[in-house]
This record gives sequence, C-alpha cells and structure tokens, in this order.
Amino acid sequence: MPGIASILASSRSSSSPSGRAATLVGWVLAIACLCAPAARAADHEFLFARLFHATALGDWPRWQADWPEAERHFLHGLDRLTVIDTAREGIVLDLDDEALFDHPWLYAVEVGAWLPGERQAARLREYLLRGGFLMIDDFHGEREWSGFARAMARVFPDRPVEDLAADAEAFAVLYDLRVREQVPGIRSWLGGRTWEKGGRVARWRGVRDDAGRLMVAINFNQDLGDAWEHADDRRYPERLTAAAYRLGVNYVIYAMTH
Amino acid sequence: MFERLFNQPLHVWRQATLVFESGWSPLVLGAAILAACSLVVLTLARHRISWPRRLLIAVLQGAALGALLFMLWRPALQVEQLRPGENAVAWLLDGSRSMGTEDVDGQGRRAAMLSALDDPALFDADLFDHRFHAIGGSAGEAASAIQAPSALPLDGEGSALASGLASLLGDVDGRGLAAVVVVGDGAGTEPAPDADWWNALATAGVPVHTVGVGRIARVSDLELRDVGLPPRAPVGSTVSARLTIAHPPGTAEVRLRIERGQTLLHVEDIALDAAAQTTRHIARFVVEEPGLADLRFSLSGDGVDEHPANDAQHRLLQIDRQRRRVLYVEGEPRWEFKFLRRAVHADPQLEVVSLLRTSANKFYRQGVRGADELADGFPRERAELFGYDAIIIGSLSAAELDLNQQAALRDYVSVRGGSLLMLAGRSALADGGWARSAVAPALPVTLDTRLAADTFRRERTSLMPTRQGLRRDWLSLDEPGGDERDPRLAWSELPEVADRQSVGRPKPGAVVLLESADGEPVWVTQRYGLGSSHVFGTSGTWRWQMNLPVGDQRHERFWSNVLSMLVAERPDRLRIDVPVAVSRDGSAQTIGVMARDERFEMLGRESVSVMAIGPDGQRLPVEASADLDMPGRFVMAVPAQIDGPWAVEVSAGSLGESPVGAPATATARWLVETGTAEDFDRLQHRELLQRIADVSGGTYLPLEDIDELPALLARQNAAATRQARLPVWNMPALFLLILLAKAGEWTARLRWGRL
Repeated sequence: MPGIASILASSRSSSSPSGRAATLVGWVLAIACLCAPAARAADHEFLFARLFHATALGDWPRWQADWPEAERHFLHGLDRLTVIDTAREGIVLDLDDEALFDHPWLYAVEVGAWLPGERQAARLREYLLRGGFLMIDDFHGEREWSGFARAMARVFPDRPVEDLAADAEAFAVLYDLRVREQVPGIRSWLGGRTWEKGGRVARWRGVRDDAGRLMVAINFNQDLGDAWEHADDRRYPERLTAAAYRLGVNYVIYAMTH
Repeated sequence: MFERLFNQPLHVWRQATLVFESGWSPLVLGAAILAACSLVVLTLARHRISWPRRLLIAVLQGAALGALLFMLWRPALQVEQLRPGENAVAWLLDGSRSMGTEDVDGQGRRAAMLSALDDPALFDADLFDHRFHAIGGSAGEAASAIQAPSALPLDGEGSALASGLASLLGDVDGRGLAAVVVVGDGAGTEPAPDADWWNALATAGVPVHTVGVGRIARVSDLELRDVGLPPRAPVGSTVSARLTIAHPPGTAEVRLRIERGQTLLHVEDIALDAAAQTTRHIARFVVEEPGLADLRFSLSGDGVDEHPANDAQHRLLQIDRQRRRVLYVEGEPRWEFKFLRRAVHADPQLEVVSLLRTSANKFYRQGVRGADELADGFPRERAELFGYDAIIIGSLSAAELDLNQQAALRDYVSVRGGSLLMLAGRSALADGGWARSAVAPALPVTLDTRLAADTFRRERTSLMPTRQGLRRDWLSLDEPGGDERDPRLAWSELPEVADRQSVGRPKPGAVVLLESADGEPVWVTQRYGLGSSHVFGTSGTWRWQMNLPVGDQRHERFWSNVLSMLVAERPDRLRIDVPVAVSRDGSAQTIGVMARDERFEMLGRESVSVMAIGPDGQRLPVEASADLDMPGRFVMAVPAQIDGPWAVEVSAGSLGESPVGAPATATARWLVETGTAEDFDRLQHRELLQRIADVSGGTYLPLEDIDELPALLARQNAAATRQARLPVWNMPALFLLILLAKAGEWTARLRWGRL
C-alpha cells in the first residue's frame, strides 16, 4: 500500500521520544483505519472519510487535527438530525487507497502545507469529476491559503476557486444558512478571537464541475472540526457548535443529492 | 390397371361406401357364403382324398361360390357426385405491378401466368362454372370481375389479396362456391391479415387453392423493407430506428444513409446476416433541429440491384423540446439517488423531479417547475400523480403513503398505463412493508410478508442480463453508432454493485431481465393493466460511476436507457393510432383515437374534435364514430389523395389546474406516396400462399405444376353434390376370380387323376 510507505517516511522526521511515541501511536491507529474501510463499508450508506496527507507540524501530523472526536461527534449529530444511514465512526483514506472510489465523501483539514504529487493529484481530480465530494476545513491565513491554492491548482489547473454566494444551493438544502458566522477553533475562542494566523475574515469557497455542481467545499479561516470536537465542552459556545453542525449537515446532504 | 379390374379408380373406392343394391342384408350374404362353403366341405368329406387336397378344393370352390353370391347381392359404391351447373370456381388473378417482374424463366410473371392459364383443360365446364376476378386494380378496390384471364388489368397499384379473397368467400352469381383458385405472387400491399381474417378463412368451408408465381429466393435485389421510428423525439436525443433489410444471401455489408433534406444525419456500414435473406438492425442517430423532419433512409451496396426503387424509404419524425418527467421519491439520502440524477442530467428528453426525505419532518425537492409542485409531499390528487411520465420509488416504506396514495400508485400502472420502478433499500420492497400494501398486486414479484423481513444486504455482486434481458435494447451498454459488442462481455466488465436485496418470487407472467452472480433475480418486470411495473434489487449502481474512468458513459447510458424505457411505455391522454407510417396505395387511412381526461377516465365523443391537415396546410374537419369493438375508442376514415405529409390533430376536453397536466391536443402524422406500393416486397410470398391453402383445406402449387389443378378441384372442393351409386357387381376382378378358381380346381383334379 503506497499510503503506508508515506506514513513511515514521515515518521522519521520526529525528534523527541515522546513525540515519536505519540506519532507512532497515531500511525498505528491510522494504519488500522486504513486497513478497516472495506469492513466498515458493508454496514452503512454514509461513511465519513478523512483524507490522510503526509504533512506534519513538527511532530504532529496535520491530518489528525481534531481526529477522531470531531467526526465522532458530528456523525452522532448527523444521525440524529437526518434520516441518513450513517456509520458512527469515521475512516481514514489515502489518495492512493484502492477503496477511495467507494467513498464519495472526503474531509480534509490543515491543508495549508499539503501538496499532493502529480499522481495523487490526478487521482483526486478523477475522484471529484466522477462525483466525489471534498470538504476542506481548518486552515487559516494567507500563507496557508497560498499553499492550498497551489495544491488545488495541481488538481484542477483550469478550474477557478470561487466564493460561494450566500444563496448557494449548499447553504439551503436542509438548513437555511444564508447568514453564517465565522466558526473559530477553541484556542482562538478562549484567546478572545474568532480567527487565527491572520485569517480574520471567514470565506466559504468552492470548485464546481462543468454542470455547476460543487465538488470541493472550502471553509477558509474556520475550524468546523474543532466546533464538532468540542460540542460537549462548556467553554465552547453552543451557538458556534450548532452552526458548525448545520453547515456540515448541509454539505453532506448536498454531496448526496448533487 | 386398378380401374380396369375394379371399375372405379382407387381414390373413388377410398371415398366411397360399399352398399348392396339387392336390398338383402349383408349378413344374409355372409351366411349364404358360409352355408355354401359348408356344403362343399360336406360333399368332399364323402370322397376319399387327403386333407390337403380336400382343403384346396374347398377353398377354390368356396371362392367361386362366394364371388357368385357377392355378384348376386349386386354390390355398388355410394359416392358424392358434383351437380353439374350448380357449382362455381372463382379464380382470383393478380394483375398488380409486381406481376411485371421478369423472374419466371426470363419472362414476366403476368405473361407466364397468362400462358399457363391458356390451357382449356384447366377449366372443366362439366363440373364447374369458372368465374374470373382480378386484384391489383384501382386503389381501394378489393376484387373486380373480368370476363377471362386475358382481360386482366395491367399494373395495378395495390394488391388487396386479403380483401379480395374475403369478398369471394360467398356465393358467386347465386351459385355455390366450390373452390377459389388464387394465382399470383401473394405480395399484397394491405396490412397483414389479422386473426379474425384467418378464422373466417378457416370456417368458410371453401378450399382455396393457391398457385404461386415468381421467384421465391432473392437473387439481386437489395430492399429496405421497413423502418420503425417513434413518432416524436426530443431535441438533442438519440433516436433508434429499427430497420428491416431484405437482401440476397451472401451479401456481406450495405451502407446506410439517413438524411434530413440536404443534411446528412448519419452514415453507417451495416454487416448483414449472410446466411439469411433478411437482417434486422437498429441504427441510432442524434436529432438536433426541432420541427417536423422528413427523414430519408437509403441503402447502397456492392453488386447489381435489380430494383433500386425500394432501396430508400421516408419517415416523418416530430422533434420537439418537450421533456418527459419522471417522479423519483426517496425516503433517505443515498448515493444511488445522487448518481441517478447525475446520470440523466444531460439527457435532453428526461427531467427527474425528485422528492427526498432528508430529516424526520423535511423533504428536499429538486427539478420542480414551481414552488407549489410537490409542496405537500407525495401527490394526493390522482390528476397530479398521473401527470408524471414514470415513477420511481426508492427506499421509502409503504407506511409513508396513506391507502389512497397507495391505491393511486397502483392505478398509475393499471389505469394510467404508466411505468413504476421500485429500487432496493433499507425501507424498500419487503423491508418497507410493501408486501402488505395496496401496490403489492401491481408488483412483478411476491414479496416476503414477514414484518422483519430484512432482505436488504450491503453485499456486492455483479449483474448479468438473462436471455430475456439480452433481447431488451435498453439493457445495451453499447455507445450509439459504435461497435456492437457481446452484451454479456460488456456487462461482465462493469464493477460490482454496492448492495443487493432479495426481490422475492417472480409472479407468473413476470420476466427476469437481470440476475446476480449467484443467479438471484435482480430486475423483474411485468405488464399490469395498461402499464408495467419493475423491481430492481439493488441501489448500488453508483459504484459503476465511481469505479469507471470519468469519460466512461456506461452508468449514464444505463440510467438514460432505463428512464427512456419507462417513459416510452406510458400512453398519452390522447392516443392516436395510424395503421401505417407510409400510405402507398392511395387508400383512406382508418385512424383510431382514444381520449382520456387528466384522471385517465374515458372521454365521450362530444369532448373530442378531430381535424385532418393535408400537405398543403388545408384543414378538414373529420367526423369520428364510436368503435363498436372497443368502448372509448373512436375511428375515422381520412381520405388522403395528395402525396406528402398528412396529419390528424385531436383536441380533448379542458384540463384542470394541475401544474403537471398533460397537453390537451395531440397530433399524429403519416406520409402518402402513391404508386410505390408495388416497389416493395416483390418476391413470391410462398409462405403466405401455402398458409392460405393449408388453413382453408386447399393445396399450394407452383406455377409449373398448374396442370394438376383440375384433379385437385375435382377432389378438394366444397361443391354441392348428390349421392350416386356406381355398380361394381360386374367388375372384371370378380369374373377373373371365378375363372381362376374353377381353372385351378380343374387343373388340380387333372393332376390327381380325379377329373
């Protein structure tokens, strides 16, 4: 499995023993998740697939931001708020994974330093054009935007990333989200801000296919995953958690109807 | 020899009954013969001769005495004999233009026929009166009386063989009809006789002898026999034209051209069935420009074509922007829902109107025409439901619909004539409680009735068409206009579907079209009432789309074909039946109309108006009368004497306020091309002539055997007869028997010295 090779390669960059131990635990869990998707696929209609990418912040793999509590909480909410037959646990997928095309929903975080190789970019492009849907979350500031834009340009050299209008269909499929507010990470919130890394203004952006359907939903300068993860944390406002749930639910409904 | 010995031919002995004109009982004859033989035996017993000799003498003397007694009883053959002057034979001679074909030993069919009929021996006036009639005269004329075969009209534009024969099956000039003789090539230009005609022929009691003229096998004529087209198609859609090509055996390939005016729409090389004389082919082409299209289909091939006039045909096709609307109701968001909508998104003739339950109290509508459409969920009014051209039910439990809605859904199939497709799912089919619903009788399967049926499984499987499924065009995965591949191979290359559901037991009369890798039925269909219902035991075809390259259109093609099939089968509120696409003999077209309101209940004659529109645009009101054989149907005769495109426009009663109501007018079209009927189907129709003879009790003869006809008429006829007795007491065989018996006895006695 090509994905495991990249996992092992990135683990060599860890420096401190505790960091290496945490990284190793993470890798073991990731490998377990990577090996398990086929079994979980048989149980439910909707599986929350998180994209594995081999970028790290020091010792910490970026793809693991808010994992696994974010999707665990979100999926409980999805199950309660809709009639979707959803698994209660998410899975982790690599772009080289054979099972990629059996999971039309993909979620990626911390993509500011992510740059897929040409082959992975081609697979992602194929995945999206066939009908897959990618939700991007939790990256902030112009520097991270530049990094992500470079990745998107590799995937879709000819497709623009556009701002989503307030009345975009994705904001109306279940909940009326024409009015939205910036959903910050918990650290920012506890620091008295709704932004981080200079990302003061929340942006909702996307990439569309030739028929005008949204393939990639980009939540820039926001951290929906944190809002899901800390849904049961009294320090994080329920208002923002609810907004994050509603937006996530809308994206899922949109992905399953367009 | 037989007739010389026994006075009458063998066939007379076979048909006759042996009687005795003496009036004495045959039992007495038998007793007398026994008594005579007994007397002989007693007489011989007194003589001292050996038993073998005694036996020989007894046999010889008994034979002579038996023959004499037999003659004494005056035996005769009782037979049915024709009454001279009281029976007629009707000759039906084909004088149509196809009889000019020169394929009978270098001469034309008509000339060969007249030459054969020039033999007086064919017309035995002692037994029958012979009356002659011609078919292939003026348009609309079934059969016309002629004085003699030589008076046969030339080059008639139509051959009304069926009508001509039907008109003759009765008295001819007040005399009984003993038989009919049809001489011709059997190439009639009327529609094929129906079951009622064949029944009438069989029960008429008059044998029809047929004499076939002309070549049976095709030698050098390529013919575009027929083109089947739908009456309309949406702009940008792919149209399937069913072609029937007649060709000489051994012809490998022909080129097809489809043109609209000066524009070439499609060209294709068609591989023919070299071992046969007829090849059927489906040509697919795209229509881009709206409006009424006069399409010309033409064939060309290598080699000599003795009659190029039949290599081309015209057909009318109405190309419009009207899209068929499919209502798709889903009980939960699923990938199949998403990918089915995506698959048909670009199809110009289809519009999917979907109602999806997203949460416990919310539905998400897509494809609706306004804010009011489906605002209250599944339609509660029949007029609204019946306005859709097909219905798909996904993972929706039956309990989501009340009894009236379930009954309306059932009646959508049986009364409305629409198509219903039910997909698999957690809350679908048996798992959705549909086995106990009002819809269950309409389904093609008997579902599991257990409350916790649990038949839906997220197990992958491959799908394969059954033998019946291979015959369905809509299950073809081939690209229109592309190479035709082995369909089983094409299906085997598809990825497995994501899930499956046991669909239950197919009902009698249902057909399984797709099955799983382990042979379970997956697609089952049946006709129900006026419509059809389908069950598809998977909701996992989305894996085809996600696991095939992005440019691969097989998933899109499958669902486009499925939905196109579903909408094509449903009848319009106004249905107009035009018997032929091209009228070639100038006869009036008998048009049938069925009209219903938005609830698909029959409309009365007063609610329907009909207008005929000629090629010059002239509008002529047409009077329709009720069809006595089919309540709710009206018929009218439209005389169309000018060549070109004709139309019939029907308008029905006013619509209700339903936003999805069907149009209240409908138009049907056909072409008139007089003088071309005899260009097509020019071979001798041996099978038809043989069948006419077999069904009526007659005999088929090729022209070269026509001299057998007099004997045939004498044997096989329905003539009025009388009983006659033919004496046979004086047949030479009896005298010969007596002579031989006595000579044998004398010879034996001479040899024994006991003379």
